[in-house]
Amino acid sequence: MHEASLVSALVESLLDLKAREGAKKIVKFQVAMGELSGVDQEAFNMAYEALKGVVEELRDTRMEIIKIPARLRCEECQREFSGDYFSACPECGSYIKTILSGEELELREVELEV
Amino acid sequence: MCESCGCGERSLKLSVEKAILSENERLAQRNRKWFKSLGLRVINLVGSPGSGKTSLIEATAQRLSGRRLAVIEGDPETRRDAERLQALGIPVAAVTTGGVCHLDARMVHRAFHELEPTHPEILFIENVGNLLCPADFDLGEDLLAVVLSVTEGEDKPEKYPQAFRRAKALVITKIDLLPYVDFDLERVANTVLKINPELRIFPLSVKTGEGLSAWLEFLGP
Repeated sequence: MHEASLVSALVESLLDLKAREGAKKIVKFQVAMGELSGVDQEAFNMAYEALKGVVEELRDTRMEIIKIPARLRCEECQREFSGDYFSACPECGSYIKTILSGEELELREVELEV
Repeated sequence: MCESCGCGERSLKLSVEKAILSENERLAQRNRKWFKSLGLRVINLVGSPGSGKTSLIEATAQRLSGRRLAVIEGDPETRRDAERLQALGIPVAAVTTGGVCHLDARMVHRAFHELEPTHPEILFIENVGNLLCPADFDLGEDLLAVVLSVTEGEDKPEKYPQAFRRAKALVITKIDLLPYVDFDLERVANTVLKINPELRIFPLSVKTGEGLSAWLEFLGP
C-alpha cells in the first residue's frame, strides 16, 4: 500500500504550488501514470479520496489520471516497440531494452484559481 | 474561469511535469554523495518477510571479518531484527516505520547520522519486508539487491517485476531446501534475465554455506 505514500507526496507538491503562486484554490490537476509504474489505480484513488477528506484545500479539487502506455527500445538493434518488462525485441529477440515510457508517475498540469 | 464575469478571479494553468517521488530522489542523491565522500559501500536489501534478509546479513558479517559493517534496519513495528544483529556486535540503527511499507531516503539519512561515528566501510540497509513498494524508493545505495527464498514460490519475479528490473543482484536463499520445494532455479533465472539481462544471480544457503563465497566476492575486497 505505498499508494498512500505516493498520494501524500503528491498532495505536498500541490500545496507547495498553491502557496508559491499565492492561489486561492486548486481547481484541478493531472497525474500521468505509466502502465509499468506498479501503481494500483484503485488504491491510488482511494488514498486520494481519504486525504481529500482531511485536507481542506482539496475539497473541490478534481484529479485526472492519464494512463501512459509502455514504449521500449531494443539496445541491440534500436527498434522501438510496445510491451512490458518481460518482452523481447520483435526484430532481433534481445531482452536488453530501455524503457522509454510507461514507468512515470508524474504531476503534470495543475489548474489554480488565483 | 471567471475572466468575463468581473469577479476578479482567474485561473492559472501550470505545466509541472514533476515526478511524484522527486523529493525522495533529491534526498537519495544527497545520501549517495554523502556515502561516496566517506568511501562507503551501501547495499539495499529488499525482499518479502521471511526471505532471509537478516540471516543473509548475519552470514555476510560473520565472513567479512576485518571489514567494518553497519546496518540500517527497517521494521514496521518491532526492533527484533535489530537486536539479532546487535547481538553479533554490529552497529545497528533501527528505523521503525510505524506501519509504512518501505524505507525512504529521509529515514535512511537520519538513521545514518547515528552510525557515522562507527566509521563503517559497508552499510547494509535491510528494507521493510515487502517486494513491491521498496523498489520505488531510491535510498542512495550503490547496490539494490533482491532477496528471494526458494520457499516463496518461483512466480515472484512475474508478480513483482519492478524490483527485479531495478536491482543489480538477486540473492536466492535457502537453496538447501530445493529438494523439498517446487522451485526451478533455471526457470527463475530465465524469467529474471528477461526482465533484467544484467542481473547477477547468487543462489546460496546460509545454513550450509553453499554459494556464499560468490556473494562475498561480488561484494568486493
